[in-house]
Amino acid sequence: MQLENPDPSLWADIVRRIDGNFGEGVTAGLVGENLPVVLRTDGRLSVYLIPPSWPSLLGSVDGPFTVTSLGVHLCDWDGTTLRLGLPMIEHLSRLTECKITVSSRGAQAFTYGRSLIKESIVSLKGASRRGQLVVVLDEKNVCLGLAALSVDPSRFDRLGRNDLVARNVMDIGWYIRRSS
Amino acid sequence: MQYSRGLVSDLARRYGYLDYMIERYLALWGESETVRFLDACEHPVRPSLRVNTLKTSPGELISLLHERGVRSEKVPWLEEGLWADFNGLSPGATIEHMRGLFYIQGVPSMTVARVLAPREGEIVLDIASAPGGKTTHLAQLMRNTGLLLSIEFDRSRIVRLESNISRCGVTNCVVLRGDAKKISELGLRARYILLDAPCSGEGLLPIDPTRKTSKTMADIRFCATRESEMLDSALRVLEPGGHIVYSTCSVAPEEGEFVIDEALKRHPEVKVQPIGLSFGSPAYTSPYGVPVDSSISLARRFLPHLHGTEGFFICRMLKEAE
Repeated sequence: MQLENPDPSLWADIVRRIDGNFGEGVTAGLVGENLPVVLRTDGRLSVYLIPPSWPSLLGSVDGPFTVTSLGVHLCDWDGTTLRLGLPMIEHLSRLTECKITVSSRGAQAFTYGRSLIKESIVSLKGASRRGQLVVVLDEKNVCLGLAALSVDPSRFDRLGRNDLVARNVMDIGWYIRRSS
Repeated sequence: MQYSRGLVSDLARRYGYLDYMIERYLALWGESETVRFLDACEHPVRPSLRVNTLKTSPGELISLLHERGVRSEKVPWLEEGLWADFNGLSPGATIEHMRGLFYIQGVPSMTVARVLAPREGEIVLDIASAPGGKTTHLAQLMRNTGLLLSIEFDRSRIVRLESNISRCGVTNCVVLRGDAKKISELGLRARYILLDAPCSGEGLLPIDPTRKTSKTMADIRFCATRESEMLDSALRVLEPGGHIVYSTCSVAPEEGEFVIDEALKRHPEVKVQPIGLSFGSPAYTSPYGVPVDSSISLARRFLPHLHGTEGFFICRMLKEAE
């Protein structure tokens, strides 16, 4: 089994997008001691993180088997949009300042795939612009997913209680919705 | 011992089974135990879950669930196993489940990975692995170290497998799509193998009453042949000195004791091993009056009427060093 490393320009793009949103050095923090490898399926490219010992172990793997995933899913990339892997979000929440904390009612709605309205926001930290991705936490600091700000944070105080604050990008309820 | 057609028809009609199933149960257990089995299958098994120790501890999860009014009780032979009464709450919809703190799993299923007991840092194969209950359990027992190869053929079932791997925080797994019978072409040998073979599901009667009439004897024969082929393939890629657990969610000896007996004849280097956990009953050594290798009594069975669980067969084997 031949494992493919991401080419340098692709990797630079990925680092620029993740660090550009969540802060300098966040990608390095997510990768840690692992190696990024690429899987290509149906025109989409997925990047996974694997332990450094795996290439030599998997090098002998052959035959009529296809790898569909391995290690930890870092992100998908279709040439224009980068989508982080859901398993990375909890780790990401420990590395970035870009966080939004929501009430228990907001948390429940968010894990059903809904977006966040002002009424459910407890606090918003670290974000500076509309469109920026933020990690969504509940009041017990449990990581629920990722949202994209729909408004500039400086305008937050002027919003009505039912106004949209952040669009749901991914949430842990997806595990259940996907399986059912 | 022969039983009258009248008794077979009467039990089949009373409990809603096909006649051939009742005939086999009578030949295996006799009348009184057959009736106890049929009665037990009319009652659902206790709901259970496995604590995902990659993300939490049994004590912490028990406390979180207690806050939701969930009553739980530890499974004596499994430190990560809990019987849990959710009082009408849907366990899958709780935030603890979404976070991957637990996996909804039957007690026999969670016993299987414990019987294999893979060591940390080893190469482990999980064959026919979807939807991932045993893969995620193996990863937790390996503490996310080593290399866990999870093999599944069905593309749609791989979606659920990968979702569960991701939800449970498993990081040491490679998911491979392919035919498990061709595993000898994989080019890799494993120290531990779990083969929870696709079976007729005859042990799931307390969970799925449609099973009373949905399978014929030909289906059981087909499953038994496929199970033998998969076990042969798995034994070929097992390292000498390595361990394999073969299991099925079936009460049928055709898919348990007879599959192992034939495998032992074809692979004299393979020996059945004692299971170091206290659960279930010994497997049969003379099912339907047909004697099998006496070492098969070291394998274990879960039975609805004796253990209050779904029916299961679990056998641990060692491939002796060359």
